[in-house]
Amino acid sequence: MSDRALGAGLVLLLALLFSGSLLLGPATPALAFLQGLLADPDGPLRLILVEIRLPRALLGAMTGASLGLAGAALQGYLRNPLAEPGIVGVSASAAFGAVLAFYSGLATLLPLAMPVSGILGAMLGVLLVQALAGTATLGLILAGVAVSSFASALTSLALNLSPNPFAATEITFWLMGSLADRSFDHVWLALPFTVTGWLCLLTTGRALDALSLDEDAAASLGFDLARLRLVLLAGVALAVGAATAVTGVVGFVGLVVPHLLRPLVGHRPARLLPLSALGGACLMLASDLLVRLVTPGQELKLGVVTALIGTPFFFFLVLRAARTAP
Amino acid sequence: MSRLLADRLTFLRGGRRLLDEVSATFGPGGLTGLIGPNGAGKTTLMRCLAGLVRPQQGQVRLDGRALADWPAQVRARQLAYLPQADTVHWRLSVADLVMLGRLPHRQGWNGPGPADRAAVEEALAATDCTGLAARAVDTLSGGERARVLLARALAGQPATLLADEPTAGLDPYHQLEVMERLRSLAQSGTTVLVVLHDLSAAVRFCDRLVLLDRGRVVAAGDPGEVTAAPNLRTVFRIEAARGQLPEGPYLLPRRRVLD
Repeated sequence: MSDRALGAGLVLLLALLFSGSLLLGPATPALAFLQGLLADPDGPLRLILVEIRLPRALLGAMTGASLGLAGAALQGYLRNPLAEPGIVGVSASAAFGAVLAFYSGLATLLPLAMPVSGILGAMLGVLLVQALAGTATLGLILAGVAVSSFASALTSLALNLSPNPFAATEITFWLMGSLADRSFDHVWLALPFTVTGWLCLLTTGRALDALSLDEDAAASLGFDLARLRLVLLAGVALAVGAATAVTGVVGFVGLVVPHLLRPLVGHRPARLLPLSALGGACLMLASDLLVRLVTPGQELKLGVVTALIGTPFFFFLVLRAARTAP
Repeated sequence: MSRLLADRLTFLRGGRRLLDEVSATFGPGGLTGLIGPNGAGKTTLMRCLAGLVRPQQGQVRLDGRALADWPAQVRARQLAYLPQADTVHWRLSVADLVMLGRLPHRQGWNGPGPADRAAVEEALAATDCTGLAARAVDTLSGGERARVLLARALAGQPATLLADEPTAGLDPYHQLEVMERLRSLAQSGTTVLVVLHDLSAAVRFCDRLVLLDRGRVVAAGDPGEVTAAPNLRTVFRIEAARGQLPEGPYLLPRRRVLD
């Protein structure tokens, strides 16, 4: 399959899932919804469409694209198919930032405090990882694990000290990740960070291709690897930080999507970047549809579903890595 | 025409002097071999010459200009480096892998153009890899892989090529082929510096040798003189048999020199 056909296929799939996300819901069947909407364009159904489902679908596509793209970029950079955004500590530190806003009561005073402090948390986390990590990629992974553990410990501390059980429950649910009850405020807030992050990540393609060889060979091809790491981590912090800040922690999208698409693009890291963004958006919207349609009453959390899809996949990758290891 | 100059390079790591005031000039017109026992500093010198690490003292100059002052992409078009035992991390096809050598020549977001494809085909042909183009890298034998990696370095059509043990792991046929290829490249005006462990290949194919021991240049010049018995004894701690074949000189390690 050519890259172009694959890209077109993914765009088509994304369009289908996006429309599905707008039309399908627990209240009315899709067709009835569409008929009702056409019959009375200014009625309550329009409100549902524009105020509830559209921001939800947009956020799903945006955050999914961020996770897929960041996963592909990190796998290319670390040359490891098991890498994903969580590994560099972004998800955990963004979550801690958001939890802190919630815990301190800032979030009740100012609704946007939570996403903002989530993004700040992601930035701080990545800065800390940058400061801790040496020049080697192994150093980056270790620093990522350390920062991740630290941020998770602080999140647990916040839960532990939470003033009442309701606050703790709310934080816990938020951490599971969801697209429910999001508004255009969330879209507008995440959008500038997300797009800046995407632009950073999309410029790394050639350097990631060069890194298919060793670091020395990549550097001899004229790529500044220190600069690459800076741009790449900034991109991941912006895109994934913004995504985590508005949806909570949604794992495994960044792991699964690049892995599925890689053989279809001849394993070239640069080609994988835009396609993983599309694929991530598709997977996120599909998972969200699943959440909404399968258990309409007690909605499953999106992060739980992606984790349930993602972990068996992860097991499979680990098993295969263990079998092919020298 | 490209000239690479090492000017009193000193490289320290962890208190050890990996290079100690190394000076040498590398230019076109013949194949230059860099030889020395394990740990002599050959790879460190190559990495300094390729601009991958900076020596604490001294300077590398490419065409009269300090290597550090070259814009990285422009430098990469002039100078290609083939690392020792280069690994390939993804299951790329051979054609895509060799195309990586064209990265310094490409601008903007465009894919490879006709000139890139032509250079890749030429590099594949020059290394006897044309038939491998569609294969995935992880299906290659060690020898095929070494040739493909050489093709990657040649695809950039560099004026200077630094190759760190390009014949390691190759069978005799392909060792000869790679050495012949490097020599003809050198004779056609490319500056080629090659690290070799095989002293026989060094005296047979190189027009000039640089002998490195414990970070110092011990001898440089005519291969016969550089590999003279006293040098082999003190630096490599071996004695060797040597002779002349119609194709050129040969050198065969005979025994270790016991202190």
